Amino acid sequence: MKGKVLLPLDGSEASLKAFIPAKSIAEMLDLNLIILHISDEEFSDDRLLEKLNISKEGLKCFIIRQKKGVPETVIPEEARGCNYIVMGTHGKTCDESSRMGSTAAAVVEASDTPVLLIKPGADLHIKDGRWTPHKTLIPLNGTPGSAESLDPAMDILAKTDSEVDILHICGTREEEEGMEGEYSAPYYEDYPQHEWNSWAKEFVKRFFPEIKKHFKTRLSLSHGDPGEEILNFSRKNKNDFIAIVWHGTMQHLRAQTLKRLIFECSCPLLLIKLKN
Amino acid sequence: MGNFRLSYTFKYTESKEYRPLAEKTILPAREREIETIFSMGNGYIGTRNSLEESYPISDPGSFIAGMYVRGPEDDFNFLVRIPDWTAIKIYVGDKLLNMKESTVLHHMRYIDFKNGTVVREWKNEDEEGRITSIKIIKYISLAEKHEFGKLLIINPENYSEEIRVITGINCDTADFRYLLNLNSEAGNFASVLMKTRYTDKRFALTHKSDFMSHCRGKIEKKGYDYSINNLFSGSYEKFQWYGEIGNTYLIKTLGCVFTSNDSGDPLNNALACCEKNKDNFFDASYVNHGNKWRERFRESRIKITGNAYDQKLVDFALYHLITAGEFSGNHYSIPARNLSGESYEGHVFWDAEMYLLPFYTYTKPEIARNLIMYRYNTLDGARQNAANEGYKGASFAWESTDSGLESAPEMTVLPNGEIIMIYSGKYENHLSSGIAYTVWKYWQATSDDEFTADYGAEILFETARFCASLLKKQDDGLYHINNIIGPDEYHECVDNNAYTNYMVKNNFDIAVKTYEWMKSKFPEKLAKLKEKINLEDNEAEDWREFKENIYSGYNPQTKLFEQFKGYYELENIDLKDYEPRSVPMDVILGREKTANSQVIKQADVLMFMMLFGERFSKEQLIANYDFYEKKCGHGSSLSPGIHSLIAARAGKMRDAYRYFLQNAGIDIGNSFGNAAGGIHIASLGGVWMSIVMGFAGMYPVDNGLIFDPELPEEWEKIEFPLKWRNQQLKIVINHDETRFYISGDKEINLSVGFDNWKKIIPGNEYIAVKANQKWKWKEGVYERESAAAS
Repeated sequence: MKGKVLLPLDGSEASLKAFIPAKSIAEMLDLNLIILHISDEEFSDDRLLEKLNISKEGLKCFIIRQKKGVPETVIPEEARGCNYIVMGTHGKTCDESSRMGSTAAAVVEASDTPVLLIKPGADLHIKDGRWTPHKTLIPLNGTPGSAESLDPAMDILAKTDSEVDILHICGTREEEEGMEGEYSAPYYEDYPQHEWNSWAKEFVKRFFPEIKKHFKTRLSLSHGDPGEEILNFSRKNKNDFIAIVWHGTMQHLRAQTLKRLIFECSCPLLLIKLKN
Repeated sequence: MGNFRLSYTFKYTESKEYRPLAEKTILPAREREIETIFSMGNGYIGTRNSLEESYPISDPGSFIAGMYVRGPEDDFNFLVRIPDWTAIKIYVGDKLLNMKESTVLHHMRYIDFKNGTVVREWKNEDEEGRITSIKIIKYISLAEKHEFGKLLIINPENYSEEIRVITGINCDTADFRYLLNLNSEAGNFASVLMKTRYTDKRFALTHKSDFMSHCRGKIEKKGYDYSINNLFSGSYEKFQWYGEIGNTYLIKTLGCVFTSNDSGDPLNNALACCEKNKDNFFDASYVNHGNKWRERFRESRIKITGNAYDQKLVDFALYHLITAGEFSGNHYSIPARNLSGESYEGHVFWDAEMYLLPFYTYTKPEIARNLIMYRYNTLDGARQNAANEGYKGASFAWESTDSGLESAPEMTVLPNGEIIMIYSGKYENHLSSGIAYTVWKYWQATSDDEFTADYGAEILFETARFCASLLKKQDDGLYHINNIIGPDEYHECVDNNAYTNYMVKNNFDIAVKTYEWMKSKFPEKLAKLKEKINLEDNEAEDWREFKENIYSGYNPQTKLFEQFKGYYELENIDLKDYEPRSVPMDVILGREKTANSQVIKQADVLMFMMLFGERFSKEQLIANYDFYEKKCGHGSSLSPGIHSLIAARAGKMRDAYRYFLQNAGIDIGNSFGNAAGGIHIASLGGVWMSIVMGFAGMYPVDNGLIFDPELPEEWEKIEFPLKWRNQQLKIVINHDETRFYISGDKEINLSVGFDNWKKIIPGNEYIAVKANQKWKWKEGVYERESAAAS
């Protein structure tokens, strides 16, 4: 059965920002695009597309789904069986001073489907009507699970010629204890001219044993606050797409890195929940 | 699967009693570490212990010592990866047995310490419910330099079906950027002949297998089809037979490796090697290897009573030390990661002398001699290195390969994109004096006068010459060495590094002594050597003056050596503020800040205080340990072992034991993130050093051996063998008593504690007891105790 990309739209300009990325992913991966509109009022398909300011031209394999209810619960329900959710961080009640709107926040937390978040002012590289990333950043914390969870990002990248920056941010030994197979920077660095080549080779082999050969991959290492390091790196390297694995809860004091990225990062951000 | 008859005459006996280091899980992320930990070798060939059927997570590889290559774009030589001889694929019906698509009912890998082999047990249930028990035993021979072997045992437990085994040499693992496959065919052998692409070195691998079935107590060598398949991607033997439920099938393989460095015709030599024992080819090799392993293990084994885990750590270290050394030396040495991975590119560092030579010198001095001969044989390269930098004499390469020419790069790119200069090849000049030190220690331990006169003296004189050209006399009337790097590589291009100055002073001292000795004992050889290297009489006179007048940085009031001039003025950083951490301090602070701080990478002052331990009082040792230990970030894997040793000598047993565990776990503990690229063989040498020279308190000196033991409370007793001046010693130490037993034909001198010498007569046992923290001889000579003499 063909996979699906879920695109929730509420008619706002902010939510519509996700349209081209959603359509592009659907086309790249040969998936159905599900345009989801939640409202008490029901429209004809043409009327709805007009209301959402979407032209039918150039749209292929799309399905319109109209639902009633609360978006925070309907979207995660509709996302079951979808490969991706692509949505704006904000909707009708757009308050850009907040990290993201309440709907996006609820969906990100409630759904296990990878969510591509697009901010109202996102910088999108669009050519011939298609969004494609050119310089992707994947921050990795060195746990086997985080790498294994990255398949949704790798599937997209395999259809592009994007360069891939893998950024490993070293934590403390205390933080890293407990998971077999974890891998951080070497504690010993006998000679940098040998140690780092060897470390990079093992890092890639460990986390991307079957990495597609055509990826132009660069592995970088930094040390410090992960949010700060990711933002600095992405600004310096002009990354236009970030894919990150996270634990799945936005509770108080959790997901600090992710919250900061959502708030400060202007490029599309793919959030993937850690596989159990 | 238990014990098996391998042939009509020989039985394989499974080692049940002792299987330390058994690895029962398959964790993809750690697989390359496991390959390293269970790697095999004999100093000439080294092979990673990969899963034989190979998976994307595997990184199989074999290396031949000295098989260095270099392409037109490369700055330096590196050790090339050759084809993998461990490949085996097993098919039941048409189905390839593999762990990804089957149920693994049992899986275990371990080192068999009884036989000196690595073993894999695998019980597999395929999708059709067929259960196959498989055992694979592999070794690289310690008895015959060119041989390796593998034994495959297959047992179809609940089915009868066609079984097909493809076993051979996988060329896909070889580095074809630097190798050409000459695609040889050699009768009824699997074989590969390759040459290096940019030079004309050749090597050949041959692989010959034999089939045997055990059917209701009957051994048969028939009932199978056999063929050989030579492909560009590898050369394989194929066996196919009808496997019957409950029967056991064996495929025994002997392989041989020869290179053009060994002979002009490596392929025919490798074929002859496989054929030399006719039909008995595997059995003879297996038995000889096992016997040699047991002999070497007995000659080296440290037994710890009271802590089984620590015994495992020590056995792990000994397995790799024994297998790394056996055929090493002369034209190649032991690389930083042994022959177990491609990290460090097969380059040889100071580790080989400072961390490995002690083990070989005091357990198997023949190997130590061969390793020093490697340096002798690279003297021409060392002379060239010195000349290239405007010095005299011989400067051994910081990163050495087959030529002895410097192979350290001048720059590298860090993972953050920063380009940094690498100065170790140019300025880390203490290596040459370190090699001179080990020449002396070898001579001291063996009384091998012939070696010293024929080879050692040339190293001592040429390194002394090099040292002389480093010196600069300054206004204080002392000789200084400026712009230098010591073992603490966080501080580059400093003046008067205490370690370097001390080693240089010693280099002059031993060069002068050797010169005088040769003048009186071997005047003709001295004359010849002087002519060969154009050595003038006044050079030896100069060395005598230099050694008395080198700047030391020692302050008698504080008892401290200043690590280098200006060190005390640097910023003091409390390393505790950065704990716990997972990366080296220079990554956290940045290189510049680290260089401007007192944070050090590894033992520097403490390193020479360890090497010349008998010359320093305990007060001096403690003062320097207390000062420098807390400033050490242990950014090198060489650091914890030396800190364990020196802490034990200083009586700081908690530190000593903690560092012992840290060092011994560098590879096996999976804690430090870089075992996949190969064994940290020097750290394993450090395990032996920290026990024998630290906890057992052994100080080898010209007069004999000093022992001043103190065990950690975690151990009840240790015992170990040693060789000293051709005599075999057995030493048993517990917390308040030490027993010495000597076998041989000559008396030797032993001291318990310092200046408490006794002549030890072969065939007797001597006992020392500890009272009031001091060791004393117990009067009398005792009958040999069976435990000590075993």
